[in-house]
Formats: sequence, C-alpha cells, structure tokens
Amino acid sequence: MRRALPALAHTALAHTALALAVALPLALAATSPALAGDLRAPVLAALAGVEDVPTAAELQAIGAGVEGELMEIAQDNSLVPTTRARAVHALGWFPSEGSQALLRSTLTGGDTLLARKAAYALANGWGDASVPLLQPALAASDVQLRIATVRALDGVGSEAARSALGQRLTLEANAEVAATIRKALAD
Amino acid sequence: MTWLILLIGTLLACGDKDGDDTGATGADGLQTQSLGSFTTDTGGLTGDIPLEVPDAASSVLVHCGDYGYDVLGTAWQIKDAAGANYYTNSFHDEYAPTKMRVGNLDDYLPVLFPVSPDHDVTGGAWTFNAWIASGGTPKTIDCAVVYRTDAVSDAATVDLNVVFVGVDGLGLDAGTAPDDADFQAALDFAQGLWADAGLSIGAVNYIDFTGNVDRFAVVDVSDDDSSELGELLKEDVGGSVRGMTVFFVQEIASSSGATIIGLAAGPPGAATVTGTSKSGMVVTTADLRAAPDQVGLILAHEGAHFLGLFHTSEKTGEQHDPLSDTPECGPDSNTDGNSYLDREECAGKGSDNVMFWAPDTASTTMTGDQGWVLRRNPAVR
Ligand SMILES: [Zn+2]
Repeated sequence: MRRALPALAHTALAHTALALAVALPLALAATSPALAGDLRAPVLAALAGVEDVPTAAELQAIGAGVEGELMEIAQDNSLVPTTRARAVHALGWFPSEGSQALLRSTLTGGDTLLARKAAYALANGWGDASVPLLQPALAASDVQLRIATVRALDGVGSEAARSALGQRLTLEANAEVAATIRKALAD
Repeated sequence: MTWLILLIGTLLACGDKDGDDTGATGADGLQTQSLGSFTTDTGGLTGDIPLEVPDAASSVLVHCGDYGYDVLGTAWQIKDAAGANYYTNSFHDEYAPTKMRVGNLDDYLPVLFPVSPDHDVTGGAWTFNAWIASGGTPKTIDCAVVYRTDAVSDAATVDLNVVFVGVDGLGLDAGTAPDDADFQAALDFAQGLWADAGLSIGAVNYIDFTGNVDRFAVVDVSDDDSSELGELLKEDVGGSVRGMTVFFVQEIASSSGATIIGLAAGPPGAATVTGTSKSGMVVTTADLRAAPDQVGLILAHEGAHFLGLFHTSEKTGEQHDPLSDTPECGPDSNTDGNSYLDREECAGKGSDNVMFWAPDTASTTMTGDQGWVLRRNPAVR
C-alpha cells in the first residue's frame, strides 16, 4: 500500500504513522435540508474514487443538505451497493435523530455490507452512546458483521465498549472474531 | 469464450521469492536472479546494488524485502549503464525528476522500470540503491531481480489467477464462476478496456481460497497498517506465476470502516514473484450482481496499476503519471474549489481514462503509452 514518507532528510527517517482518518463526530446544527436530489451530483462525486474513500471534510464542505442526500443515496436501490455503502458509512459524520434511525434499521436490515457500514457509522458518529446500539450486533449470525462490530467498538475505545467486547469474548465461538476481540482488548 | 481455460486448484506452482532464481534466460522469457542480502546504514540506504541488465531486457523488476508493515521503503537512486541517474528520490542531493515513479511501500518493495516509453532501458551494468525508512535501525533485506527478455507483442496477453475469498454468498466460487454470466461480463468488460492498450486476457485460472476465509473475506486496511492486505497477497494460491493474481473478496474496508473498491499491490506490483505482500491485487465484489461492468472496471484499473500504470491525475491534480500522451487534469481545473477533482471538472482532461483516480464505466479509454507499459510487464506475454 502506498503511503507518504515523512518529509525529513534521509538521515532522520523515523517513520511516524500517518494520522488515522478518524471520523470525528461533528454535531452539525440541523439546518433546513435541501430537497433530496439537489445535491445528488456533488455528493456522488465525493463518494467516487476507487482506492480513495471520501472524508468527512469533503462531504461537509458541500454544505447544508448533505445528510439528507446521503440518506437518499443510502436507500436508493438503483445505485450500486458500494456507493450506497459509502453513503451509509458517511452518515456517521452527520449525526442526527434521522441518521441514527436509518443506521439502526440498516444495522439489522439483513444487507450485511450495509449493516457493517452502519456499525462503523454509529460508532464514528455517536461514540460511547453507540455501545448499546452495537452490542446486539456482536451476536449477529454473519461473521463479517460481528468482526466489523468489534472493530467499530474498538474504535470507540471506551470502558463500556471494552466491556461489551469482553462479554462477547466469553461467548464467541468463531476463531477469527475472537482473535479480533482479543486484539482490540490488547490495544 | 475460447480464452477461458478452467483450471481449479494449484497449477504451475513453481516459483517463490527465493526459489525462482534461474540466473539465465528461461524458456518463458524471464531471467531471474538473486542479488543477495543487504543491510541498510543508519540512513536507511542499502548502498549500490549491481544489476547486469541484459541487452534484450524490455523491463526490469527489482524487488527487496521484507522489512515489516510498520516501515516504508522506496528507491533511492538508480543509475543506468552509462552511469547517469535514471531515477533519484526527491530527497536525494542529485534529485532531478525523470519519467519514473516509485511508491513508498510497506514491507516489500517492487521497483519496475521502464514505466514510460520516454525513459526506456538499455543493457549493461546498472546500480540500484534502496531506502528503507526504519528510523535509524539497520534492516537486512533480500533483493532479487526479474528481467523480461522475450519479445514484446503488440497483441499481448496476461493470465489471471482469480481467487474467490468468501464470496459464496454471491453464489460465486471456482466451480460456478466460469458459467456465471455476471462474472464473465466483468471479465469481458475488463478485457474490452484493455483492448485499446493491446492487452487481452489469456488463461483464467479459477481458484477457491483455502486459507483463513473469515479473516480475509473482508480485508481491513488502515492508513498505518495494511498487514491484512499484505498477508492475503502473500498467500500461495497456485495458478500461473507469469500472470496476475486477483483476490475477489466481499469488501475492502478502510481505517474508519469505509468501503474501498479495489487495491493493487504497489503500484506497481511484484509481477511474477509469489509469496510477498506485493504479489497481487484485491477487488471488492459487492457490485457484481447489480453492475458487473463496474467490477470489470475495477479489475482493469487495479490490474493496470499492478502492471505499472499510475493515475492519469491524482485526486487533487497535483501529481500525474509519467506518460506523455495521457491528459492531465491539474488543480486549476478544480472550479468548485473543493479538495478534489471530479469527473465533470476533468472532462476532456482524462476523466474518460481507465486510470483516472475516480473512473466510472464511461471511463473507457487507454493511450498508446499506457499500452506500451502494460505490454512490457514481466507478467505479460
Ligand atoms: Zn487507482
């Protein structure tokens, strides 16, 4: 994977890991959302990119109404799953009652790709408050959803999140999920 | 499709990073050679590593490692047979830009040249110097080289090892894929995109992944830790060594959990070298049923990265590929003032190219220079 080398002379090459693209929970004030569709083109442009994923700043810079457009895109069956998945994930950067309701229903909606994105979005957007919302997904039948939920709770990193992971570890039968929990608890 | 050959399981598994040292031109047109072990100085440099580039060489792939996922490596200096700087790192005192790009890569460093027809190779005694940025701690790495010495065809082919990793939820595995209309449509679309470059798909080896499917069905990569990607690419899956290995997974997920649609080792990747963290590429399959062309586009895009192509223009427009005939879309095209160039802003400036940073299925063009690079890669025949 390509990364940037630190801009240092080669004799001082201490490689410091690049800052994680942490999704900061930005409590945006509710503004009058644009009509769904008005921002479709710029939001889709922000969600494009093969290796590059959209950032919170890029979406927020589009202006008022992005949250509504992301919600429309997330539910638009005419769009490809990866675009919808990026929209679901991005809703974590626009925490509101509406976005949380959509993410909670997506988490349990049966589409495992979108459910994984909802797990991350809830963790990214609501932090510690997402723990009770995410805890049931630790027992989901889909292994990849369980792993994503573990990683999402690892990102929250609070005592409550660690406690939820510890509880799940005593029950978890899948070796990979258990290994992911152990790694999270060891961090 | 006559170009499809069904080969399930391990075929032609005959090489790894330590075991394919023929030291001579093989019947398959590749000459491989171990260059030895090298310990970096406190500045991270290996010193000059000699290369004897054959006169017949059309491409050279030097590869060194491994040095761990928490360390980045790159090329420091390459001197050609005349003693001139063929490439210098931007931190080098003698730095002067040439038509070559080398990534800053974790764990394992493949360096491919030429990656532009404006900067070809000639036979003779070259030197290569790697920079392993390990923070002052010396690293010992093994280096080897692959010279491609057979003729470059105007109608080239590349074999594909397509590996299915936990995508049975799509009804997709080595047994079903040859007759799966969507998967075949994806391959057809990729082949159609490469056609402008004079490249077509050769044998397709269909392989079910037999490793830790639960770990790799969703590949989690972080900005500072791509070990899961690297460990998947190291897996020995068999297939054609002289070809490209493509892992079809459910999804690739970023640090924050966002969906990444495809990732190639490098770029460029460690072509014809198996068992390294740079020995393949990964494609998210989530769009296969809804839009097989989209998956084909990603296969074509990532495959071209692996074989030596960069984005015609990167996201901000501040960096471009080293090719002369690909359109450039620079920061001055960013008319809406945001932090990235979109397809509309780059219309007529490369957004229709397969290697635009954000292509869509209407991005169908490839240029002569791009084809020149692709057809020279050691993985291509
Ligand atoms: Zn790309």
